[in-house]
Amino acid sequence: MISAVDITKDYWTEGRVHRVLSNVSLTVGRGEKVALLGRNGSGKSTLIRLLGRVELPTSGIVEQTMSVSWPIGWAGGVHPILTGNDNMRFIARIYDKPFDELKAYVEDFAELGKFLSEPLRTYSAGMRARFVFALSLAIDFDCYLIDEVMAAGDQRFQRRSHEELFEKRADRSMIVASHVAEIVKSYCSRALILHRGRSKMFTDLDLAFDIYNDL
Amino acid sequence: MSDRVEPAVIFFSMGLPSPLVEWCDAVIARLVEFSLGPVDIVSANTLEELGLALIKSSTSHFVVASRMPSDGLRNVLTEHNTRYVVALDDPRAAFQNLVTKYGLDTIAATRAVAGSCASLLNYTMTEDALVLRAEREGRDPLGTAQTIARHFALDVAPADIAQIVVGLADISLTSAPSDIDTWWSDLEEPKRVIAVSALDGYVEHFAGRGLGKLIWSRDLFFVGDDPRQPADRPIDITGRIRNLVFGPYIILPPGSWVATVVLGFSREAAEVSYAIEFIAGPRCVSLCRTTIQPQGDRVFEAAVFFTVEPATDQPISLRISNERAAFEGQLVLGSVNLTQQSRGRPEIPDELRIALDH
Repeated sequence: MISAVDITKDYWTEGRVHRVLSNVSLTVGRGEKVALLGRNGSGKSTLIRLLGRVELPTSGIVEQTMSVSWPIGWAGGVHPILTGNDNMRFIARIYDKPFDELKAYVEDFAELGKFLSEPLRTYSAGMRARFVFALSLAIDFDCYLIDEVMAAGDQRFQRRSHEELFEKRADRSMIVASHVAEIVKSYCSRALILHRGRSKMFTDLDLAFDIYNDL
Repeated sequence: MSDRVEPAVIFFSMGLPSPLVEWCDAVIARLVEFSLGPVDIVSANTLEELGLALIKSSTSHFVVASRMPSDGLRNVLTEHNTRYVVALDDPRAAFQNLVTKYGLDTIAATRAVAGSCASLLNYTMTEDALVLRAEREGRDPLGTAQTIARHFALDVAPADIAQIVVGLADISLTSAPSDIDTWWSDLEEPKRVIAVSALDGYVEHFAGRGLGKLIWSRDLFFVGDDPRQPADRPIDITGRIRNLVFGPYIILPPGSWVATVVLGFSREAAEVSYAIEFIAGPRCVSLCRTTIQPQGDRVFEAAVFFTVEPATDQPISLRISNERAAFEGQLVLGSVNLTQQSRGRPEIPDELRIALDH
């Protein structure tokens, strides 16, 4: 289970406090898939980062009783100076996963070939997205945090990503920030709408999208 | 099949649901029985209800007891110069009668008496009507019975009329004003306010001072998401476009009306637009529809104009709906205040035409 209890997150911008999230609570059980809906700037990515413990909340608690990925597609966990291979070694060591196994998966999924021996800073945006996504999936997590990364890459990559996430890992928990109704309605059982820092959970996904579309 | 079928004779007894009209129903039935033979008392407010009641009955003579007689029925009665009785009383007495004798809750009694008052307004204005008032005729049962007999041209001897009156002595025609006042003052204030607000305008009218303002309290309305609940508390607007509030299904007299709908909004709800619509009858025919956008105003008064024609289906109700799906927010209905507008002078349109021609 992963739960957020009364999460508040403030940022300082232009000398003032900007409250992005206000008393947001969420619980996701094992195998459950929950969507995050909201307009741009509503705090979806912030909440994903808080759930992944990439950032700390201003107040509130995030609890995890299962392994949780970092935000899939988030590039904060890799270093641009290191090569693809060195980044993989780093991640493999942190998560105690055999390097060869991890490398084989990333090579196959990202299809970067010899570029894995080059520093990440030499990759194009698309290459970097493929590498980071593949690295995210190379580790087996109980819960995946997905922040609209499904929109990255070409059609073939998106198809493979979809297959890796929603078919091969159908039994895992997921928290999915997405605007795509088809994905949400196909795979998620609930939707949390974020609006002006506040949140509301809906089990009726059609209703959730009706409200989201009218925000 | 050689038996002659006697033509049915129908007598109409209308009035507020108070002791006086119940006494009138019984007196008319006794008079008809003495004069013509077996009689049934049937309840009917419309031509259709009347037709069904007659078909189901096996007697030849009927007393039609109406408490909310329709305009359609009135038109037919007027067209055929059919005589009828209208029994008027203090609407509070009718309210008390429904609550104490028939066990209606105060909300249902308010609707019933308000609807009855509205229905009867035009029935008192025809030559065929014998209008009886509790404070006047109610104090002289014998004289009133004789007047009714004469009105309907029922040939009943004075002694028989006296016997009829004696036989109905257990039916009280009217309550003492002090009794009504005492009962009302003992009524819980919120319930009293609801009833008084909806009925006072008619009290004014029956006292000869013209139709006063009618106020429909929010307790008379229903929550759209749960029609069993009265709209007497804040309503969560979260959700799809839908009816948030509707009701109260009360008959209104024909005329031009201005309704002031008072609404309160939470900060979030004030950002949503709403449709306010008045509808008529079971087919929900729209009388008028307007959109409001509170835009930050926490209390909003919307003035809505509509017309109830004599042929308009009844009863009248209001529905308030959000015009787009809402993430959060609360709305509360204050009240609906109705004022009948006086009709313009009939010569004005001609004046306008003349002015325009020039």
